[in-house]
Amino acid sequence: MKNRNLEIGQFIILACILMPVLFLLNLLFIGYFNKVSLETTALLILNLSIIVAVFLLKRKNHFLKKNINAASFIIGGIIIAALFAPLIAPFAPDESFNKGECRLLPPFAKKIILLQKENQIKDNFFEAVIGDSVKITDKVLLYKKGKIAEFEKDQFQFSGTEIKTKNVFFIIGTDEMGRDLYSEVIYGARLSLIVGISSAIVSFLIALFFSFISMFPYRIFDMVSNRISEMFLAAPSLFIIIFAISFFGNSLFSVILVLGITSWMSLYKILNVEIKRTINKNFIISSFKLGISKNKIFFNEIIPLILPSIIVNLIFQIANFIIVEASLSFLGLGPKFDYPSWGGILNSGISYLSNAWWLLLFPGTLLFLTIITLNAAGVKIERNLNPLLND
Amino acid sequence: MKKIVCLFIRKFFSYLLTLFLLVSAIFILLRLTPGDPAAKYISPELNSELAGKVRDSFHLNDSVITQYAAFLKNIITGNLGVSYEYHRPVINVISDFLPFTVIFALISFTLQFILGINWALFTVKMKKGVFKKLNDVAALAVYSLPVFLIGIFLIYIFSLTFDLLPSGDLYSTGFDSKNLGGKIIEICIHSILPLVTLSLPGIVIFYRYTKENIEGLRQKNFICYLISNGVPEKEIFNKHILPNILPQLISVSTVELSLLLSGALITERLFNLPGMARITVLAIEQRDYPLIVGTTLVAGVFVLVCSLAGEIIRGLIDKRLMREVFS
Repeated sequence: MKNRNLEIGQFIILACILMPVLFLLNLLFIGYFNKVSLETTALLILNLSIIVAVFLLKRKNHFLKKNINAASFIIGGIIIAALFAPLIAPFAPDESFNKGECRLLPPFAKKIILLQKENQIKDNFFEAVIGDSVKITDKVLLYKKGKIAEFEKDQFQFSGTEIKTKNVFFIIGTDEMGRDLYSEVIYGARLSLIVGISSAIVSFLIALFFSFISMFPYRIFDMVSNRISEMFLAAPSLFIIIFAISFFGNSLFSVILVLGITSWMSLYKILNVEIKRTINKNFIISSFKLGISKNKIFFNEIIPLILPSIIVNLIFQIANFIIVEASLSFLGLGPKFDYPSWGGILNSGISYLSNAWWLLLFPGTLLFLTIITLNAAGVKIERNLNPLLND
Repeated sequence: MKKIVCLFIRKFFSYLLTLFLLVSAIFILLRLTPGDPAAKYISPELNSELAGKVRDSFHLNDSVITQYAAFLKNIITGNLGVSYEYHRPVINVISDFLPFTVIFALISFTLQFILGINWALFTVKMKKGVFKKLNDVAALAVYSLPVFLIGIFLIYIFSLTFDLLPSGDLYSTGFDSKNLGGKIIEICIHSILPLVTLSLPGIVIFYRYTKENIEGLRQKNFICYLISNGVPEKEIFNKHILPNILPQLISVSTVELSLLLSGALITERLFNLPGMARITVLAIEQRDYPLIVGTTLVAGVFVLVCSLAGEIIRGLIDKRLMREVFS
């Protein structure tokens, strides 16, 4: 009997094919496509492709043949939203509208905005025309050089140029800078995912390096790498992260690096124990004795055996990194970027706790959903891989 | 007994080595960082000779090895220097802020330990069904909530919407005029929300560990053997399952306690509490090097002492562990 539902494995392959295509589409058709979103898109695609490669490394992916459930649906949704943010978001995340009128608007707010073109209206500088109750056919409030002035309809014909207006709809409101919260939240997903996945990759690489060192035949290497990992465990990690970030600057790159460096220990311990245990198993020793090449044993026997526990740990790590990144942004030490991440929005929203609940509710809910689905997926995979845990 | 002492000495020296590595790492980080700590104390109006003297008083022109030796010597003798920001010895500054963090951490830890384990024991005894699953889902949900979201949520509900509890600080204005009872009540009221915020994630961690360990143990052969021999379930639980999960619980608690003792950064920041985290962040932001070294050292010592104590207690409880160590 063939399963007709969409499987996770097919979904990933589909996404692999679609990714470059939609990336090109992004390049071609988006008007405000700038350098910033190019950078982040490239980073995100790199990250996701590494994860896909890790999945494809394992020959038999049983759990990829599971049907899509709520958890993978939400994760998939957030990844897609982050990937195609320029297509989904109506505005650029750092595009701030007139602060006087568009500041802290509640959800479902409608405004009329003047499309200004600087080269056309040079003498009379207009900030914006705004007002949801004011119809464009009657009177319009214009901010002219700081003063509010009323203009009749026929005065629109201004020195030969026509003033164009545009209806804007802020679906979940605006923040204190007059930016559309919906676009900000979608682009924020990008930042959170990039930080989470790349720090996990960095910590994985460091753990791999140290477990490689501890594989050397002399016992001193093992001892030294164990001591170093214990030293990192002894230091309170959040303090070390803040310490390093406040001294070395909080660019996206340094945040990722610092997060990776401060939390590779658990992965190292798992790798170390698992590899040592697997190598001493009878079937590995007998395949060595049979004369099968080392590469073949490594790729066919050892990697499939240790990969599941690593994948589970990596998923938990990603969730943890997203939390840490949000906490850092909440303390004002998050990655400095053109637009804020979820934690950054929450940090600015805490000042408006009493009058702007939407600033906290939407990014907070998304953060929570991402982390809980990642954790739930991790628990589920752990259950699948470890039959002793099953009820 | 002899073995315990032997284990203690062995672990003590290994932790001492770790502490030494940590201190060296702090020194290296401090040396690597850009920025001149003396720059703050030299105004442009100062003549160059005086500026040079000020600069010399920081010993920044000495060789790195001399500096490192002086640094180690100062730490061993307990002389951590004078804080740039508070203009007082670092030890005095830390001893001002440490008691609050220690008391707060211990209260929160007790809450976490008792509530988390009891919740787990309560759930384990439940029959399989919707309610049991609901507990798990609730635990996972709280586990996934970042601490600051819990704090914001609590402040929004209890302080802003219903106006029941204060949203920050340890005491409000007019605290000094009250008598002792009033003071205690006020501090209690002010510390409810921070305590809940601090304890909720820990409760869930204890719940999850206890429950997973108990359920894992129930699958083991010796429990199945006992059940098939007709030993009453209560006896199995009290005599065979609980003693077996103790070592794991102790290792979780050492990690939790050391995290709490080194300062609950976000909670203290959110509720504006006078703890270790506050001076640590202030020191880092103001580049107050002596205070940074002091606070990091205190946090590291707490973590190491906690894990040392945890290992000793585990050694006392579990004789198999001793055999492993000495084999």
